Amino acid sequence: MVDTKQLARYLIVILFAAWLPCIAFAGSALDKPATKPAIRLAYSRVIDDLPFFVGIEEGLFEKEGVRLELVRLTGANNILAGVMRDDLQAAVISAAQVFPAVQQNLPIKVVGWLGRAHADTHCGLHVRKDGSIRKTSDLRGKRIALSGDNMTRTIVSEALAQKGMTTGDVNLVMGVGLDDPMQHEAVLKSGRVDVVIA
Amino acid sequence: MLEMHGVSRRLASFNDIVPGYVFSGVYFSEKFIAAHPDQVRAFLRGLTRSFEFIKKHEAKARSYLPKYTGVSEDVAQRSALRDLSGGGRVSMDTLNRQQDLLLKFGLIERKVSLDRIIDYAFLPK
Repeated sequence: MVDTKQLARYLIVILFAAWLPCIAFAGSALDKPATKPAIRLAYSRVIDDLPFFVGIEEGLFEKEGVRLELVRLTGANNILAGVMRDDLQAAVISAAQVFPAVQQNLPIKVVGWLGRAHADTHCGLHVRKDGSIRKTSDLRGKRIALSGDNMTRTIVSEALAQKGMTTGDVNLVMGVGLDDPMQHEAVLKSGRVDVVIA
Repeated sequence: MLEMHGVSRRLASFNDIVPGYVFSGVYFSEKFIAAHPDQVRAFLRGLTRSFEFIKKHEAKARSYLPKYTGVSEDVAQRSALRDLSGGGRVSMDTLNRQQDLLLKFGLIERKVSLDRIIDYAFLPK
């Protein structure tokens, strides 16, 4: 004859034992915050990237529901490949690169801009402090360092055009990147070039 | 930075040559945007909040530059920052004026419409 009271006690113990792990798991799940999705963004380590740095340090991206991870990567083609493979989720693009991107029908979208030049902007054509070049019209025959990208070529070409000159009236020295201030300083001080775009 | 190091003198700034020059923007792949539009919106909310923070707390914002860029604290506090008043938006007219310059100097073959590649729909209203 089955002792029903004993059976009921066994059932209660078994049910309680079965529920315990579930309660423990639920408790631990509640304690652990959900991981926010990461936006891996290629950046250049330049002052213009300040909004990203501020957003990370002040928790502004996390407050909105994403984590921003900055990935140091150079070369527009490398970066684009990273975005296409989803190794990176976002990247910075210069305005001058956008127009060729449209021509190439690249499957990307520019979703916002990182600010504009203004009256106190320091970036531009820089010459040796103690040199003889005093105004843009003095650039005829001078050596101008360029990275080769469309942005610097546009700025130099337009600066010269405004003074009735073309790039044929100066000597362009290619290969000095805009994101390397120490290289700018070295080539300017050495006298290898007369102008850097920095 | 070159000026601050006493190496250079600024002959002409980007703004002198092309007033309000737009330097750079942020892009995502179309595939990512289609799959994760909320993440794109969240990123841009964070980014525009960052613009506001820089405008309201500039010295504090600048204090983060040495950690990420390697510049000195002095350079960080004195470098020119970008005009962030547009909240991430720039008019198509402004961008097309820059496109006209690339066309003028033969750096692109033909003028293109920017409507397909620029999408402000994910920026906060």
